[in-house]
Amino acid sequence: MEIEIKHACKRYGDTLVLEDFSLKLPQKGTVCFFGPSGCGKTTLLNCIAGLVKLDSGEISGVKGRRFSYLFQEDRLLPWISAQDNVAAVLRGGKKQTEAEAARWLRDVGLAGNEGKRPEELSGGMRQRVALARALAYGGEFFLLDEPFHALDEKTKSEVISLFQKKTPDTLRLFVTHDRHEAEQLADIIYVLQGPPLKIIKMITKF
Amino acid sequence: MIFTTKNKTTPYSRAAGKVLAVLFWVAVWQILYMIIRQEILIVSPARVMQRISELAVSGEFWTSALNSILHVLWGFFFGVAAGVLFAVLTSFSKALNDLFYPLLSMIKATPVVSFIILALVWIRSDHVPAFTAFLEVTPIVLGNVANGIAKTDCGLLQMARCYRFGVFRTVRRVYIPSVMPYFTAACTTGMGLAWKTAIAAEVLANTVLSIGGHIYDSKVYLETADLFAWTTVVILLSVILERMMVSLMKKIGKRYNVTL
Repeated sequence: MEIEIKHACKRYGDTLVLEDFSLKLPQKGTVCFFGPSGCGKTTLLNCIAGLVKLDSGEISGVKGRRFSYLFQEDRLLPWISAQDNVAAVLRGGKKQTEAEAARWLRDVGLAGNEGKRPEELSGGMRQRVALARALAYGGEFFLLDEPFHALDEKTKSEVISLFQKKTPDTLRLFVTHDRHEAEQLADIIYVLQGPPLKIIKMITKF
Repeated sequence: MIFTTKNKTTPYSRAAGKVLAVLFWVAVWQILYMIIRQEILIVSPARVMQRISELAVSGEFWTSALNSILHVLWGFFFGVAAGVLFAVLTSFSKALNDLFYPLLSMIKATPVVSFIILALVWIRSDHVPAFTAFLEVTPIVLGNVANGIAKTDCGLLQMARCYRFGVFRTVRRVYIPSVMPYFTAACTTGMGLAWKTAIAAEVLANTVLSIGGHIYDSKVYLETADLFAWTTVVILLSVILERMMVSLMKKIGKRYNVTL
């Protein structure tokens, strides 16, 4: 099922963030929304995630589907350990979810930090816990809002290749204002401007 | 090898500091007594201790203390339960919030003695202390818990929604840990308020075999020593109960991984 945004409108106070915005997304691959801060990219992701309600228009192909959202901030539960944060999105017995969470943490390079709380980890490490949580939860598509901005170059490319390896055949919607990141990752790049959000250019790789 | 630390806030020195502070105020009390020298106005600390020990040998003392504790606890627990219930209801329903807002403002602004006197007309007098304590505790808990719910991090709630935590897990993992500090603060304030209210109600209702009843008697017979003695008992019981509650809260907090 493809995700399609039809005539979406969204206003925040006096700012029209989405004005008759329409876009059809492919079934899989990495789609990058590239544009300056504050142009409405995050609002678009939030609308697709169903966290923000459109004033008018509709988004089809999302309802009932399982997806992971990697937010711009880590949004980890501050009161529990890294491992418990990942285990929190898993279903099943305590032992089983804990083992699975530990495995995901190891995959993102955080072995040995399972018992630490978010406040004991660096910003980059917290981002990776959030990534482990998203991967652990899985889903049919992934929403990523500048998730790698806190990582250094080396970790970033490691994490990105891991992410692509672990999520084959899914759709990854990816927001960034880093050109290099966009070019490295994306199959399709939408260059955006706004508000109101407008597609000014579409770049397809291959 | 033993190292001496320069850090002076060891548990022992902190406890010693607290004891010294109490002794300082007892000394102030003693000096005031020595200046005034009228037993009807102020009683010496030693006389109060003596009076308490005299009272404490009677069975009546313990029954009275127990009755007052029960009044306080009943009022407190029902107040906390109602406060939490209404906090949840009013936080998640704007209509209910609008409906209850005037009632709560009214309860908060009404002088506690008005409630006591009204309650004396409405219900059996030995139920009045717990009832009025309940009325005073409810809005405090409601206000604090509702504030805690409102201050819960939106980002975490969105995260919980995306990852389909469901109601149970969202409450367990997001709301309870967020609200715990507010709830604990409300309980500490509420416990103190429950004591003040329940004892005031006991005095006005002149409930038999209760601390308030004895305070009433001391007023009638101008027994200032008894008034001081019973008041000291109230203070001690209030402190003990509050301590017990705080340590219970810390245990509950630990269960939800919150350090209080």
